[in-house]
Amino acid sequence: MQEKNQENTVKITRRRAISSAVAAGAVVGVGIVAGLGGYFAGASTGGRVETITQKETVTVGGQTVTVGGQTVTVTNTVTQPTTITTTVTGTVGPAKPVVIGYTLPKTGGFAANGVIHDIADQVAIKRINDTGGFLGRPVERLVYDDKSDISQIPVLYERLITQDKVDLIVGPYATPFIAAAMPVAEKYRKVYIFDSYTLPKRATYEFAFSSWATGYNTDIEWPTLLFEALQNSAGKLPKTLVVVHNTHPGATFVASGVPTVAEKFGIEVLDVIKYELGTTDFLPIATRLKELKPEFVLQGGLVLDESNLRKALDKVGFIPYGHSSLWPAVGAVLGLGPLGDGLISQSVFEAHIPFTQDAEARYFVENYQKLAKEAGLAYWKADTQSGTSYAMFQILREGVRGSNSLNDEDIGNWLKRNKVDTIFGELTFDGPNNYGPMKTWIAQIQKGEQIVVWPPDYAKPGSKLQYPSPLAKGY
Amino acid sequence: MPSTTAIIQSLLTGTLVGGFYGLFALGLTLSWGVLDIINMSYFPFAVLSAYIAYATMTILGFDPFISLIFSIPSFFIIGLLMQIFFNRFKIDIFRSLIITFALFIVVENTLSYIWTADVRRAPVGFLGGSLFIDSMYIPIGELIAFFIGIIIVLGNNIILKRTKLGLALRAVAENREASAMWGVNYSRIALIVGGLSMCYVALAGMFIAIFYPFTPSQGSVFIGRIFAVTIFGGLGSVTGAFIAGIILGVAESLAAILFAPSWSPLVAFLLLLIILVVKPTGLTWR
Amino acid sequence: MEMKVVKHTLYTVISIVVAALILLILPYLGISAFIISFLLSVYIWVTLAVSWNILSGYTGYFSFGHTAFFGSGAFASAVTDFYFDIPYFITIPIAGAVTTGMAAGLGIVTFRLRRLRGQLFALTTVVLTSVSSIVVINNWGDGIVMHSVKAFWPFISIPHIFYTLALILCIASISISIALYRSRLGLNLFAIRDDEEAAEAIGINSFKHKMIAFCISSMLVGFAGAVFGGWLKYVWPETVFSLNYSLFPILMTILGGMGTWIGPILGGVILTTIFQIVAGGEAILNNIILGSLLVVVMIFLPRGIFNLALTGYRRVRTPLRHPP
Repeated sequence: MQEKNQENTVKITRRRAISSAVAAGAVVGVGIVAGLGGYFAGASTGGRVETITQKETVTVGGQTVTVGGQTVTVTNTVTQPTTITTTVTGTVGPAKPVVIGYTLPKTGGFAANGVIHDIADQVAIKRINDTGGFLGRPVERLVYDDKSDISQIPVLYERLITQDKVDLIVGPYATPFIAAAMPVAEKYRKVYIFDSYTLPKRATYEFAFSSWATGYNTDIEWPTLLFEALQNSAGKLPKTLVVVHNTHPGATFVASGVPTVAEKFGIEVLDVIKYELGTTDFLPIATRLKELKPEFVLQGGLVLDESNLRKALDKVGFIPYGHSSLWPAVGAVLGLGPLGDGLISQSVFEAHIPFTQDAEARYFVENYQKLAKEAGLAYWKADTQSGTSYAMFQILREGVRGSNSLNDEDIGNWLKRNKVDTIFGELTFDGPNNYGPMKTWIAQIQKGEQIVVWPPDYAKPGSKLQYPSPLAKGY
Repeated sequence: MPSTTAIIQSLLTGTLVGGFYGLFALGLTLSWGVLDIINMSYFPFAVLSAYIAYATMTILGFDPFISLIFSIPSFFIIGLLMQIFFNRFKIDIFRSLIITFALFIVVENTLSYIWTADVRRAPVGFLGGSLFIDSMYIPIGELIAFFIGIIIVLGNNIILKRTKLGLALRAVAENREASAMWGVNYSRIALIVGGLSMCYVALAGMFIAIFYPFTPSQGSVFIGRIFAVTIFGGLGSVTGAFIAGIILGVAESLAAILFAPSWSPLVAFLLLLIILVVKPTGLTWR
Repeated sequence: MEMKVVKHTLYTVISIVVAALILLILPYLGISAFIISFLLSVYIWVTLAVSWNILSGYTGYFSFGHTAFFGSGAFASAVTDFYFDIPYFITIPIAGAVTTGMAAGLGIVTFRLRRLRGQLFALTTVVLTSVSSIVVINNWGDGIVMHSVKAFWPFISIPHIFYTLALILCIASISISIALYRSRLGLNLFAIRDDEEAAEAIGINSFKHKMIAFCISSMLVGFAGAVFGGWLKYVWPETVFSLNYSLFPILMTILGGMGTWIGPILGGVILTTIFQIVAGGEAILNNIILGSLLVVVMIFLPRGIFNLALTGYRRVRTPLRHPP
C-alpha cells in the first residue's frame, strides 16, 4: 500500500525539516502540558449528578464551630466606649457536599449494564439526600466513563482519589474492572464497596466489601442450592447434565464446583464444554448438546450467552428439560418470547413479594423503573443488576451513618462488625474476605417474567421451580 | 469422535453461517478493493440497520425484510454522501482509516444516545426457526441469508463480465490512473460503488437483528472475522469474500465439533493462514 | 553537508535527553499519582505508536498485529512471574524475546513469498492476533495476579518503578526510531516502502530488512506489554488483547504523520490526552464531538499533524492536487 502524492515543491531541506519538527514538537508539547496543567489544576468537570443543598443555621458564641464541613471563626471585639462587634469570618453557606467517585462503562461493550447501574445509583443517591445525606452533608457522585476498557481503571481511580480528591469511592462495574481498581483502593486505604464481583477468593483487600452476597464458596454453594431447588421445589432431579461455560473467570469458578456437587446428588456429568467469551455462534455447541441429550444444561454464561444458546437450541431442534445460567441479560432472554420461559438463573432481587415488603425496596423499585422507562431502556424492570448497585450505596450509607464518620477505616471496621439492612435483607461481612453467607437465589423466567422460586423464604408466594420444561424436545 | 451426521450437520450450518459472514464482508471488500477506502464505519452502520429492523419488527409489527424498503435506499444515499466526501477531499487509504474510525465513534455513540446501551432482542418468528429433515436441521434465517448472498454474487459476476459498468469497475479496481485515460469517470463509478457497499451493509445489519441480541457496540464483535474474510477473499472480489466467509464458517463449525468451541476460532484462522500461504493471491478471481 | 547532519542530530539528541531528564525527575517533584499514571499510559501508547511506525510507516507493510505482541508480552511476563517465580525485571526481556520470536516466525513465512506480500502480511497479523489471544484465553482465561514488586531506592513508590520503566522504554523506542530514520538501514526501508521490486533490483535484501524492522517493532511492543501488565498487576486476557492496541497506534501514527519519526509521538501524546479528558462529563456526547473533530482534522491535515509543522500555515490553505 503506497502513498502516491504529487505536491507543490517547496524546497524542504533536511535542516528546515528537523528544526521545524523539533520546534513543532516543542510547541505542541508545551501546549499540551500547559493545557493539561490548566485543565487538571482547576476543578475537574466530571459528571456531577444531583446536588441538593442544605442550609444550616449556626448559633454563634465566640467559638469555632464546624458547619457542614466548613470551619467558621467567630470573634468578639471589645472597643471603648463599650461596643461589642461580632465578626463572623469564614462562610456559612450551603454545606460542602460529600463526593463519591467511581467509574462506569457508559460506552463500549459493557455499556448495557453500565446504564442500568447508573440509573440505580441515581435513585440511591436521591434516597441518601432525602434522608439527611452523610452526616448532614449532601452527597454527590463523580462518575467517569471507563469505556469498558480495563486499562483506564487505574488511571481514573488515581485521578478520582489524588486529583479530584473525592471523599469516598465505590467500585466500577464487572469483575475484572473491580479487580483492577482494588490495588488502588488498597494503596490509599479507601473503603471499597462494589457490586458485581464474582471471585470471592480474590477479594483479599481488608476493606473490600461486596454488595452481591455470592458467598465465599459460591462454586459449591450455588450448584448445591440449584440441585436442592430441583429436588424440593420441582420434586425431581435430572439424571444427566452438561456444563457449558465461558472463559470468564467468575463463570469458570462456579463451573469448577459443579462436578463435585453433582456427584453428591447422584447426577452424571456427561461433558464440560468451554467456549470463548464473546461467542455469538452457538450452533456448534447446540449441535453437540443435541448429540449428548443431557436432561439438564448448566450454563456458566453472562449477558447475551443464554439468549444465544437458547435460540441455537431451538434452531437445532433440541431443548433440554432444564437450562440454567448465571448472569444473563434478562432483557435479551425475554426478547425470545415464549422460548425464554424456563431459564433458571441467579438472582438476589426481584420486584415482587417478599422483597417488596421492605419499604425501601419498594422505593427503589418504583423510582428505578420510572427513571429506566424515561431513559428509554428496553428492559426497565428492577432486578439483580440494578439491585446490587443500589445496595452498594446502601451499604456505604449505613457504614457512614453507623460509624458516624467519613473516615474510610472507621467505615470499614464498622461494616465488618455490623449487620446492614439492605433491599435484599440483612447482609453481614464477617466471613473470609468479608463475605457473609450466600444470599443468591434461584430465579426462573415464567410466562415472560423473572421470579425467584427458591428458597421458599424469598420465593414469590405460590411459585415453584418448573422442571422439566414443557418446551423440551429432541430427546 | 462425533458421528457422521454431526459432521455433515456442521458442514451445513458452517456453510450457511459463513454465508452471513461473507455477506457482511461484501461492503468492506468492495470499498477497500475498488475505492481504496477501509471503511470502519460499516460496523456501527450495520448495527443501525439492525435497530431499524428491530423497530420495524417491534413498533410496526412487520417482517424485518420490510425494513429494507426504508434502509436500503437511505443507506445508499448515506454511502453516496460518504463517497462524495471522500472524493472531494481526496482521501487516501490511510486517512480513510482514521476518518472512518472517527465516524465509527460518532455513529456508535449516536446509536447509544438514541437507543441507550441496553440490549435489544427482536421477536423473530419463523425466521429464527429451522427446517427439520430426519435428524438434521436447516436454520431458516441463515438459509435465506445464504441464498441472498448467492444471488448477489451471481448478479455481481453477471454485471462484471457482461456489462459496460462491470468493465469500468474492473478497470478502476485494476488501475485507477490507466482507466481514467480510457475515459472511465472515476468519480461516478466511486459514487455507485460507495452507495452499493452501504446497501450490502444495510442487508447484513438486518440479519444481525434477526440472528442476535444486540447493543450499539455489537458491530465490534465482528471486526476480526470480517477483516480476515475480506483480506482472504481478495480485496474487491465479491465472490472471493463470499467464499472466504463460507470457508471460515465451515472451519469454525468443524473445529468446534472436532476439538472444542473455545478453540474453534483459532483453528479457523490457522486454516485461513495455511491456505493463504499456499495460495497467496487469496481467492481473487475477478 | 556532513557537518549540518551532525549538528541536526546533535540538536535532536540534546532535546530528547533534556526532555527525558525532566520527565525522569518529575515524580520527585511531588506531582500527583494520577499524573504519574497518566504519563505512564502516554509513554506506553507512544511506544506502541513509534514501534508500529518503525514497521508499517517505514516499510509500508501494514500490521494489524500489535495486539498480539502486546498481549503476548504481557502474558509472557505474567506467566513467568507467577508460575516460575522469575523476578519481574527479568520477565521483561523474556517477554521481548517471546514476541521477537513470534515476529521472526511469522516473518520467515510471510516475507519470503513474492506475490501479494502486503495483503498476506496484513492478514497474517490479523490472524496472529486472534490465534494468540485464544491460546492465552484457553490456558490462562482466569487472568493472572502477578506478585507484588517491592519498592526500592531510588524509587519512591511502586508506580514510580513502572513509570520509570515505561519512560525508559519510550525514550529507547524513539531513539531507535530516529536512528533508523537517519541510517542506511532506514533509507533501505523507505526504498522498500516506495517500490519493493525496484529496491530489490538495486540490491537491497528486502527480506533481511523487513525482518529487522518487524523484530525490532515487536520486541518493543513485547516490552511494553510486560511493563503494562506489571503495572496493572491483574493481567486478564480480554484487557491486554483488546483490539485497541492494534487500532490506536495506527490512528496515532496517521494522525501525527506516517513515515516520519515524530508523527507517532505527536499522535500518541495528543490522542491519549484527549481520551483522558473525554472521560469525564457526558461521555456519549464527548465521544461524538471527539469523532467529529478527528474527521475535521484529517481533512485539513492530510499528512497528519506533522504536515502543519513541516510547511506552516501557507500549505494548509492550498489543497493538494492529485491526478484523478
